[in-house]
Amino acid sequence: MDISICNVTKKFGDFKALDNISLEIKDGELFALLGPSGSGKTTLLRIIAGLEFPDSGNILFHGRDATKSPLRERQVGFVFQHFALFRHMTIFENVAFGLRVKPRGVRPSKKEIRDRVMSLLSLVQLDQFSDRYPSQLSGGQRQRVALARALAVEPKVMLLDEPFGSLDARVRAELRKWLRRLHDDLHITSVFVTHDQEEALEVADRVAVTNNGKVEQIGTPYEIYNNPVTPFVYEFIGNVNLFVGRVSQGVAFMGDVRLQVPELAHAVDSPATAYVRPHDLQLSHDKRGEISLMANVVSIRDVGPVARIEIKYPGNNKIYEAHIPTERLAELNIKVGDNVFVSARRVKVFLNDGTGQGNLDMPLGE
Amino acid sequence: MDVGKQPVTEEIIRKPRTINDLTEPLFVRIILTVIALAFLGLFLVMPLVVVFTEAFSRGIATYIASIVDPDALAAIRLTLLTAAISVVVNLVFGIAAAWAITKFRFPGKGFLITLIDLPFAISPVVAGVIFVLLFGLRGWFGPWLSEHDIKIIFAIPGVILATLFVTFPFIARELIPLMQSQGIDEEEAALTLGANGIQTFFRVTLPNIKWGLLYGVILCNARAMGEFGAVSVVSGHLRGQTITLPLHVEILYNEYKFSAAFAVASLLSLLALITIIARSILEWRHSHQIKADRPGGTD
Repeated sequence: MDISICNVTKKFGDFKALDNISLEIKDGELFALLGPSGSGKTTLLRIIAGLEFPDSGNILFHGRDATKSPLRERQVGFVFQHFALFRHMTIFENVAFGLRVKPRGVRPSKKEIRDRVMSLLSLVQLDQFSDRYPSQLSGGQRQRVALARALAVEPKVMLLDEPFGSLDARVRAELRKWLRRLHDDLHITSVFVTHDQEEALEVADRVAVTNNGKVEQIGTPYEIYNNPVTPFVYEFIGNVNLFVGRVSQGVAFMGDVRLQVPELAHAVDSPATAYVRPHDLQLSHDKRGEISLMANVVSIRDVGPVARIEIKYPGNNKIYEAHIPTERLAELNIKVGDNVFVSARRVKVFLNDGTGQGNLDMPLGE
Repeated sequence: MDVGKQPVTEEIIRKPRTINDLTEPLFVRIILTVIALAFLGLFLVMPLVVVFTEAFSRGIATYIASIVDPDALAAIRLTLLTAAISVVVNLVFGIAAAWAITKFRFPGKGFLITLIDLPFAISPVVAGVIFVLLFGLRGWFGPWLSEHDIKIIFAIPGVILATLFVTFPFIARELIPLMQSQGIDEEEAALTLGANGIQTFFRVTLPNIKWGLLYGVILCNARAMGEFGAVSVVSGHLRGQTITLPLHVEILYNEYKFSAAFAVASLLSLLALITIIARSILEWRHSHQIKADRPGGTD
């Protein structure tokens, strides 16, 4: 089932939780709503579910307007952030709930309910826990019960609110992979909300980045990571180094550095910000290319395949972060306190008033 | 500050903590316990013992005679009726109020909560006087009521109304914090699973609040049976008609029928004891349930 969200606005008092949001969720895809807390993503999810109603705009389920239809008719499964399991019922009864409350005419028989619940519990690998109460399970197990319970009513759409938010890091990583596999098996259109960019980029087919009630960018994880279209997305996804300066007639002045940005030829002395990912910074002992700056190494963390190096640029006394392969670090033999030359492989410049942006790719020979 | 802190921390680390560091010296503990027990003995246990010894001071026969006296039986009947009505009405009202307050957002919510607390803040006598001013012969609705031959003040409806007023915060007050702490997640989950409002209430909400509800009912019942001030004002003391147990005790006492007064009082005391026992059992179960909800709550 595909979902269209058209010009949805929702206010809570003076606070605009959603500001004219439109997006399309395709049939069978796993879609992530990613944003900082307060960006409106949970409100949007609850509006899709029918737990909240928009002030204006429409929600279409497979082309049919469902904006006003009550949540019972929408056939959505909802997994709550804190799972919201029924604490006075066993795991079995929790999963059976949606089947037991069906109107008498369409309610499955006792045996059918039993078979269906047990098969769902084995799907989430909890069949031997059917007699336990939610308080007797770990967080990860509860999460899976919540999923099984939502799946029991055969929803057309699954909605998950911060599905891994309240789990510890290890369980979270495991469940993430498990959820992705489950989705690949079941192919139910699914939308999940998260504030964790790694989670969204790893699990989802497509991601919408939200901020202040607006959608900043929609795209595949690859597009979002490699080609952020707004400064917010650049800063929110992954680490980034910022350089502030001005742009005039296609030339960016960032401190002592001049960059040619032909895409910004229209700008006349406009304030601008340049963004460079830490892994797009290169370190060397000699000057390379046109733009290569001398900086001082402040700290080195060389755990894992990537070494994180903090460098201080004497021009403005600010600290920047560079990520280089650990082998490269060994080759260079850099130590804290050394001076190195820094050059950037890829820079993106945004005008602060939002009227333009430009990319610079600067292939640098090794 | 920082300079002074350092040696203190070191000292604590060096010397392993023992129980003595964390509690008062033995003699302080003994003194405190003795004071508490003596106080309880003097003001709670002794009066209770007095009630029962006085009640039986003229023998079992007098005791039974005082209780099966027609006026006493009438008082027992009225007390039971009043308590039953108060509990049922307040049960419905309490659940409705707690439900509205905890599950919905609406204007005037704070005002409603304050209003529910009003009977706790007002002296019961004032509550009684309010009803006399409203429904008494010279009250606001008095002329209309007497025209239609409806008697409220100095009649059973007045006794019931006054008791309702005094007891209505008990159940709502018990449920509001409980339901607030439980939130609305489970109800929302039930709705997304296709349950309707009634199914959600009976299958999800009610099982979650049943112990709190029972606790509120017990307190409400105890207060309804024991209410004196408000009932005294509106009852008019018509013997065998508008007399509840507490009023009956007062009448007997004023007539110097001490052992009869204490016999009837012992019934009320017995009720108090049963309430306290039921309350502790429920509290125990309640804390058990809360404990069962807690572990691993955040992992």
